[in-house]
Amino acid sequence: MPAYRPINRRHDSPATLDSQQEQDRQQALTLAASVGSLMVAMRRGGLSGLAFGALSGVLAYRASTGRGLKGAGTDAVRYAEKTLTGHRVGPLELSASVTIKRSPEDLYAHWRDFSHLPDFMSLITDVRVAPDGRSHWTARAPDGQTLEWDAEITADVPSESIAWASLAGADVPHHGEIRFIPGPPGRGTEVALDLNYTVPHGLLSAAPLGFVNALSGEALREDLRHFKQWMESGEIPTGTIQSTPRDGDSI
Amino acid sequence: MKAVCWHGVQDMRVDTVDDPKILNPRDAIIRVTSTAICGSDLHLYGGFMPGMQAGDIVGHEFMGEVVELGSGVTNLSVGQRVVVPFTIACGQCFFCDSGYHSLCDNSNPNAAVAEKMWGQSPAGLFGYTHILGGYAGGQAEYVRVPYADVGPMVVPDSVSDEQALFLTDIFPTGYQAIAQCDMQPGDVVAVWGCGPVGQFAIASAKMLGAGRVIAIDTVAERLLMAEQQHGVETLDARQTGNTLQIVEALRDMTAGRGPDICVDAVGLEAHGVGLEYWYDNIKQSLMMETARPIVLRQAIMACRKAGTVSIPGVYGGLADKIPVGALMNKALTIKTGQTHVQHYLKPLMDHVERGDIDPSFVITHRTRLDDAPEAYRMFQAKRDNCVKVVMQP
Ligand SMILES: [Zn+2]
Ligand SMILES: [Zn+2]
Repeated sequence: MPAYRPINRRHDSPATLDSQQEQDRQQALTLAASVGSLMVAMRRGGLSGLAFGALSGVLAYRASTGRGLKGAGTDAVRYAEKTLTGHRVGPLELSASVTIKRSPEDLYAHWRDFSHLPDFMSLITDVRVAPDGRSHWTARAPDGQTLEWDAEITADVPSESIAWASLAGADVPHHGEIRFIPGPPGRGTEVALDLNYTVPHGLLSAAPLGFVNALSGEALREDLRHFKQWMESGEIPTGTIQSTPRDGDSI
Repeated sequence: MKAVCWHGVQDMRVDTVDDPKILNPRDAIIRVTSTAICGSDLHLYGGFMPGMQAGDIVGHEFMGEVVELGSGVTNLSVGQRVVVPFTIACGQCFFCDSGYHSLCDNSNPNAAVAEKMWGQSPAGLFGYTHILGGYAGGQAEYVRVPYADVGPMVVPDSVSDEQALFLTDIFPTGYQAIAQCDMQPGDVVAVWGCGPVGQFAIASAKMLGAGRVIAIDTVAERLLMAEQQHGVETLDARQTGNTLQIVEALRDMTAGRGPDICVDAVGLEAHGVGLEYWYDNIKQSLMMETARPIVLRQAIMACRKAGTVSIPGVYGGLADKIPVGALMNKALTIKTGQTHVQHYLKPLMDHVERGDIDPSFVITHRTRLDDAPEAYRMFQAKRDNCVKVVMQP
């Protein structure tokens, strides 16, 4: 078992324990590298020491902005294995959580109508719900590729949780669950989202790589952040700047 | 429209850019009538804040006339004169609800980047890096204002642009620096930095009933402004000497106690004397630290036991040699944060309307938006005793 208790379910599975250990190892390595170069800097003194110190500063900054080094995410992700061609195959588990200042009842009701999801899920462009409860989903990957599949609700506890799964024939079979847990007094609701994809094996399979590559714990977390922004403030913020002459430096 | 755009270190230009548009239901478009250059804009100008991209429109202190409203804004009408908080806040999240508007959960579109730097993301700000949202700023003819139903405040006719403008940032920022300190009768307040924020911290300390206020700076004209405007004691840091000598001077001025409240109204570009300043300057230029925390060190070292160190000055990244031993062993309290402008706007506007304070006292220069590049040069060099520049588009 993990030493701490996140609210997402995936952390309980042995598979995720591996990914947690891998994450811990990566974080330890990064920290060691930056502390190491700092210590070299202190030992050496003088100009070369300053240069080493500067390097560790740059590393820390790069890491913190996600430029150059992979940022240490807190979401549990088990990446699918990569084939020789670098394509992911196999199971891919994603989870993320957020606290939203609305009641579990409100959040459940909004999510339960899947046609709302395109408002805040970045890859989902359209969800149509049929009278029998089944739904037809359309997604668009960053590379422009479009995917469609049908899904059905597999479990439904009003104000608490909703689980759904894609039906046979989906290009990327998957199932998901969202849970709405009352937070501490005055804080609203803790929302935990878990998604589990099966990325098809085989070089010749029709695996939609643009879509699969867009799946990440960080992307899922952004989607949940957009859900929170939508439910708390009624809109998703944008700082989009009007076009300006863009010549010069950036820092 | 015309706008002041950042194009690199010490490279501000007045560019012709597209007019802003309504993008979200709660947006408004404001025609700017007055805008100011802030000391924190100098951190962008000098290249000390990461997350700037060439062409970014700067400016977070601005006011003007409502010219267009999104469908979700029903409490304002076109033609009204408003002053706009520099902190962008949704008004509906846990933090906005608790009066911590600068910590709004929802207003930073680039929250994920801020989380990597700081663990959690504060609110978005106008014209202040992509880490804080990449919002176009207000040193322009027009500006898009998000959450216009909770941010902008209508300015009474009896209050002029120059009296209202500093409610956007520096007046509430100076005020919060004192108001958050649980000041007790007789408390001695020391304020490092007699720039605009320091001047308003000093004014606010007097307004809130401080026993004594000691103003500290390295620029004689700014100390003179503090003395003449607020009748407070002053300490010339350059003449006094290094950190140890300043701490000793403050101890001597308070019969050994040290100031009860120490305010760092300087932030990451502090100036000092001697080896310590040289050390921080080199490290900063090599990116080994992103701040020169000279004032913060002095404030911690000088502060009375169980006193409060308040930090309205802006920091972005890392600082070192912070006397954490003094902090711990003297049981100090640290109060800091960007300003919860929306929280203070109404009471401070009332003070201005009643004539308790005329915030226009800090203005030393008035110019046109077209002259912004020269105004930045002058302000950075503190030439011509420049404390605050107001520009009109
Ligand atoms: Zn400002
Ligand atoms: Zn908010």
